[in-house]
Amino acid sequence: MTELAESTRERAERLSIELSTDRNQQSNGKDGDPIRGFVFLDGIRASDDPAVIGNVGSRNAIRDLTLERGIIEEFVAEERSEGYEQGRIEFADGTSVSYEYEILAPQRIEYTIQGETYKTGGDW
Amino acid sequence: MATTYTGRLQAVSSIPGASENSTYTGGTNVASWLRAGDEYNSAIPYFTPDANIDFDTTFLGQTFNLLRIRSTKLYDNWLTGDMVDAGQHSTSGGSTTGLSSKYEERPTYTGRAYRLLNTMTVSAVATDSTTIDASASRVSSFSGSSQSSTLEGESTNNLKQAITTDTGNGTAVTGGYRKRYFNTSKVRLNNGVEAFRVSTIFGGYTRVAQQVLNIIGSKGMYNFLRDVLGWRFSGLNGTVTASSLLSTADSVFCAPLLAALFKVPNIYTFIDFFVDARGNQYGRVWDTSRFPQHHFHLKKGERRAYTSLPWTRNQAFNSPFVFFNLEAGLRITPYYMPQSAYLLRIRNQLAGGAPPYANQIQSRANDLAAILPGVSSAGNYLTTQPKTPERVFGETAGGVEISSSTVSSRLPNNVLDPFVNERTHG
Repeated sequence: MTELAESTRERAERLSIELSTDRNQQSNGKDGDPIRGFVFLDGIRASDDPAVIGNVGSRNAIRDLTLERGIIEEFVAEERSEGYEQGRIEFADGTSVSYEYEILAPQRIEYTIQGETYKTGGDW
Repeated sequence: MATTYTGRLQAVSSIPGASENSTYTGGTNVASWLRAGDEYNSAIPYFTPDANIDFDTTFLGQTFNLLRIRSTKLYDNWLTGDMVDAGQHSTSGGSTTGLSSKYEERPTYTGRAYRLLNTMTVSAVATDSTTIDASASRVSSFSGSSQSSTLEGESTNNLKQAITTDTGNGTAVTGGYRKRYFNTSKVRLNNGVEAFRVSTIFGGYTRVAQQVLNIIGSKGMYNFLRDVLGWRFSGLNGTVTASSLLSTADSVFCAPLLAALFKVPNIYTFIDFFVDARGNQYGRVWDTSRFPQHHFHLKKGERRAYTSLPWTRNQAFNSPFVFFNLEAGLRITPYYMPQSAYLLRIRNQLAGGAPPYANQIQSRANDLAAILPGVSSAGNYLTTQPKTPERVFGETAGGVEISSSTVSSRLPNNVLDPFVNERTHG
């Protein structure tokens, strides 16, 4: 998929693979309908850059939470110090999820949403 | 002998626009040019994607090559602007004056000519002409207010039946408030004079967008487009349905457009305000939402700085509005990311760093411009990106303007973390 622009690849969300047999290779030597199958992979990330994968992954995670729970009301920082923050994201429906944000270097950031860690920034 | 100096900074955010009543013929409450009514007269653009799309792929084993989507208008047909142009907010009073029949629609709604006000009043106590008494100095008041969003009243509004308006408010939906964050400190300016400093962020949002998001969440995107907005899908074959296509987000021709519906952008201003031991007031704007326009006044009430919003009537595309939506979608605004992440962004930009995700924002804006009839260009995100700080301005205790270069030379080159205290308005 390297021929696709990064901006196209980064929007990929689902991979669909179609499998089918060749009708000339059936074991009984006769022609028959090909056997076809499909595999779907959800939540995929298409990039060779880990930072893009992390950035897109964290954004999609927030988007999915937003559709499920309503708009983000607030990021409540429960603990914050130089380069580290943890707290909860509160949504319109009254629920919240935990987050953690750790700046390892200016372009090397671990962003954890609901227990899943995304490598964000640009330098991994 | 201690002297107390009072300083005041007001940031006014407003959506320019003229009357949106296409049959409007009279009235005297606004300038005549504002009264030439048209449903698409605000700086909010409208979008009408209408496309024949060739797909060269298979989906669930079915080959198809044409999907026709007959869309309907988005955005400007839903909401109205503030019946102002850039000149309206030349004084602080002008910005907050109520306009009866502001929107020139029935039922009428009397509103003020802005979206959001972010105001602070500071008492700075000086023990001499260079020294501030930090324990006696304080913020005497913060105020933050948001005007209601008024739904476009004419039939072009395909959204209004789905939106719940507020009782007694005609077609208006009360504005939403974000928290105010703030911090204060005493600081020595570069000319040796001490000042009392306030760093604060305040924002709001339209609850119409919030309702749209809730409808999409409960009905699904396809049903929302078809049943609420009246989009029509045709040209599909076999087992391939429009809804199955829409569920594969990347294959949808208008992914950037649909993505724009998934968010509720915030209008906000991030302000650094100083009152020094001689009564001089200095304002510095670290960051603002790309949309709408923002005007800044100090105590005397005259406009000391502003950001403008290029717009024309009946506009099909408006770069600041698109960038505003995309920035919200990429979660790079103060209310949609961890506080540390936002501070890091502003500090990076102050140090000369590039704004985050500029390439993605440009690329998505280009995609959007490409599917809109009559739009030739998305505009350039990076070259129109405001500098950090966006604006600096000042005035003396006597109300005389101080040049921005003088203000810049006096202010410390750092960002005071605003996320230390918080307050709720509204």
